[in-house]
Parts: sequence; C-alpha cells; structure tokens
Amino acid sequence: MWSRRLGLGRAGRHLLGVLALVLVVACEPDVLGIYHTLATESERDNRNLHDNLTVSATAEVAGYFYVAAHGMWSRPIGRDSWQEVRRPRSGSVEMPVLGMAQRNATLCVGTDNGVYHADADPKAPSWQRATGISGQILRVFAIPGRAGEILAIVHNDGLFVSRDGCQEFSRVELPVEATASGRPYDAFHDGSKYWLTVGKRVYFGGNLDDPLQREARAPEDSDYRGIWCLGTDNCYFANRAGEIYSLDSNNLELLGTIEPPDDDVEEVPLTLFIDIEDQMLIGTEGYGFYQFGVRDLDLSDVRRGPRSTSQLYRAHVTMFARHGDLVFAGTAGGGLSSIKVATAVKDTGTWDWE
Amino acid sequence: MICLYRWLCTTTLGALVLVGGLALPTAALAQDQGEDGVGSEADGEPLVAPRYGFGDSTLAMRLGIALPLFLLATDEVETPDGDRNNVLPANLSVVGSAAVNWNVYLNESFTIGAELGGGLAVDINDALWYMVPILVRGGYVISLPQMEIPISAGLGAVVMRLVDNTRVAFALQPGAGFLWRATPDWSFGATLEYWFSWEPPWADASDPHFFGNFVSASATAVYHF
Repeated sequence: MWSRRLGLGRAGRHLLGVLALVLVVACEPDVLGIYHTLATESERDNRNLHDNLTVSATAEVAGYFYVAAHGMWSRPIGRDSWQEVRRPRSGSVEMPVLGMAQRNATLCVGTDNGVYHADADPKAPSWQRATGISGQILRVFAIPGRAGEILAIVHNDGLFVSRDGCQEFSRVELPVEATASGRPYDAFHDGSKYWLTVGKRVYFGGNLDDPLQREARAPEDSDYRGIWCLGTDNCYFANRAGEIYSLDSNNLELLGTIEPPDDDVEEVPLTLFIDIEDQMLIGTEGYGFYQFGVRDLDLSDVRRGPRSTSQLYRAHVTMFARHGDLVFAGTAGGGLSSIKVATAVKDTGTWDWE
Repeated sequence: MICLYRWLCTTTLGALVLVGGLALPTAALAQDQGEDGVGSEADGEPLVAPRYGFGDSTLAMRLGIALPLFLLATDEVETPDGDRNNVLPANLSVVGSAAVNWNVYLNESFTIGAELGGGLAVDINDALWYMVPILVRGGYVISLPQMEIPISAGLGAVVMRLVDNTRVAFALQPGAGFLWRATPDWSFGATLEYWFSWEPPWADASDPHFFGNFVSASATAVYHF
C-alpha cells in the first residue's frame, strides 16, 4: 500500500481517509452551500402542488396561474395555494391533461383522447372538444413568435395546428422522411418563417400549409429538441447529445456541447430553451438546466443553473414559461418550481418549489 | 400549526432524552455511593478526588439536543421576503444529537482526544438535514471529590447533508460538562456546548461564507479506563 510506503500508521491512514472524504464532498458541482440554502429557504404551503408531478405546461389567464400535470390546478397570482381545476371528461372520468396552451382568455388542453378548449375558469371550465384532431396528445403549445397559432403533437399521428383559438385543428403536412426521422418536438416562428425540429432533422417554411423544407446544413447525428430564435434567421437548436447549434442565413455553428457532470454518462440530453432578460436557459433530462449569456452566446460561460433546489438540480426539465415577473420550470416527476425574473438572472437565484 | 406541532414534538423528545439521561445517573449515584464509589463520609473516610495521569483515558457518550440560533453570512443575502441581511434564520428544527468521545490524559488535568458525533433535524419544509462532526478535542478537567468539570473545545470538520447536497464545514465546539462521580469508573451529568461552524463557499468563491451558530445541551456518561 502506498500509505505504508509513506510510513503512515493506521491512525494516519484513517486521517487521510477522512481528509479524502472531506475533499470529495466539498468539491461537489456549483450548488449553493447548505447554510446558504437553508438561510434563503421559504416555507412551502402544504396545500400546494404535489412534489412528484410531471408538469407539461403553465398558463396565466385573468389573474390566475394554471398548471397542467395530468391533473390541473390554478392559483391566484400572488397567493400560494393551488386548487384543482375540473378537467375534460370521458364519460364520468376526468381525462389526464398532457399539454396546455392559451390564447387570450381561452385554455387549450391536450388529453389522451383529443384536444379541448374552454374559457379559463379557476375551478370548473366548461370544456368543448376541438375538431379535426384526436388520439393521444403529446404536447400542446403556442408557437413562440406566433401567439395566435397553437400546435398539437399527436402520438403516432404527426403535427396539427389551430389558428382559431383551439376550436379547430388541421394537419401540418410534414415530409414523409421527416416523420420517419422521429416525432416533432418544438417549433418557433422567427418573424418571417417557422422552424421545426422533427427527429434528427430541422425544417423551416414560410407557411405551415406549404411543404416544409429540410435545413440541409443541420447535422443529423442526434434528435433535435428545443428551438429559440432571437430574430429573423437567428435561431438556436439543442439536441439530445447535449449540443447547441446556432443557425442563421449564412452559417451553421456548433456553439458548444454541455459536458456531462458525471463521468459515467456520455451526454446531457437537452430539452427546451427560454430566454430571460440577458440569460438563456436550456433544460436537460436529469441535470436540471444550464444557463448562459444571451448577448455573446458563448458557451464557455455556461453554468448549471439551479444552485440550491436539489429537486431541480437533478431534474428532467419538461417546460419553461415566463409569466410576468415569475419564471416557472416544470419537471418530469419533480413538480414545479418558480423564481422571480430578477433573481433568475443572478447566479445565486433560489427557486421555490410550488 | 404544523410548524408548532413539529417543534413541540422535537422539543418534547429532546427534553425526555435529557431528563432521562440525567435521572438515570442520579439514581445510579444514589445506589452506588458508599459501595464501590470514590468514598463516602459515611465510611468515615474523607472524599478524595481521584488522580489521573498521563495515558489514562476516558470514553464519553453524549445524547442531547441543539438549538439552531442563527446563520451569519459574510455578505448580505437576499431572503425570500426580499430583505437583505447578514444575520439569517437557520430554518431548522431542534437538532437531536449524539457523540462519542475518547480522551487521553496528558497530565492530571489536561486531556486530548477525538470525537465522532451526529446531529439530525428537519428544515422548514421537512427536508432532512444531518451532520457528522469529526473533531479533535482538547480539555482541562477540574477534578473534585464527587464531581468532575471538563472544560473543552473541539476543532475539526462537519460533514453536512441536506436532501442530496453534501458539504463540509469547519467546526469549533467549546463547552463545559458537570459530571457526578457515580462509581470510580463512571461519571454522569450534562454538557453544554456552543457549536460554531464555518462553511466556506466551496463551489463559487464569490458566494458568501456562512457561519452556523447552535447551542447544545446533552446528557453525558463518562467511563474511566
């Protein structure tokens, strides 16, 4: 043993072991210290959401926040307590809500059998079934940059769009090779055209009714995930391999790769973006989210975002949403967290569990 | 209401442990004195404090509670209320604690030893927090015929964990014990300590340093080898 060669006795070896333990546990990634976490902790209301929810979306309508996480809940803005919202029914059974979007005062929810819409009501909306769409809805979302349009991704049936506030949907014709490549994941309108990620490919087009074109410059090594555009032809794409690409009218550039924090994993699967003031957040599957500056979009300054809430630190982030001065982060199985915008952009931001 | 209930439960449990810890040795003292104790005036012999010397050792066991007083930060920190402050609440329940301490006499009064402890509490959201102090403890023992009063200070590291976040802090734990000699081998009593711990900003040097402040009371049993 090396310790014996150094002439260390048993006590010395035990002391070295303790020192090694101290170094290992003291060098964890950039999470806030325990006293710091305790000192800035706020007490959760026990009537709040369950800690283990899988959150698909949040919305803000007429003074209330809404959250879709199989069940549906609402709370007045500025209050802590969430209350259950009646969901669309199939017979006498309330259906799971798998996605949600809003247009003006209308809520639009995806279920395991079709899409429903209703005027927002914090307790009992009067749900109506949308036409032109059926099957299990994987995601419903308003296209960023195109608030009047709502997209719905249907399990094994592609992509549908509604332009009338969720009453009627029509199919978005994706190229045959697109559907073969995988399922649609995200969409963004950059001010002049749509961008879509479908499987290992990126598509764009000026109109969802016309055939979309494949972005040939985008590598097809891994499934694409979130899209964020800062302006026309100025978009960013994340993929399942932890890579973030910048794509504009002239260049395709690999901005960087989020390096796995653990040696035993090869990549950090990325999910969705959100842009908060001068910070870009990108969710991950299992590692919370990462944060980097929007201005220079330099991934050399990327850092793991949530620094004190351990439930977010190792979460699969399924959604981000900004509502006024609050940012929500939803997770798969880890509930919903929120943070004030002003605090989110600071590196000591403490997320509160909702 | 739930907070009050939790506080009452923890405090009551801690008090029971403390009272139990003190009551047992008192009963043992009453039973043992005059049999094989350090001497009793009833035997006609004056009480004499035992003399310890270099190499004599003791094993002390403590069981008790600690009250989290406050946390101190080197920079002002924003609280959930939006205030900025250096002195911050610990947001922990009463800590249940235990420790085992082995000491060796360097001469008849001074001791040095090692201590391994543990503390357990929940935060304001019922998340589990625990700590394991690993200390070197130096002490001075005032030895009286029926009592010993060890005044000591522990210095070392505390491994803390909150949910799945593990951190190390440095600890200083000065304190004093008041122990009755029940038999030549056993002493029982109570120990009061102030726990001061320093958690440096391991992850990011721009974060503030934090200092934890606790006061601890524990029932103590000491075995003299």
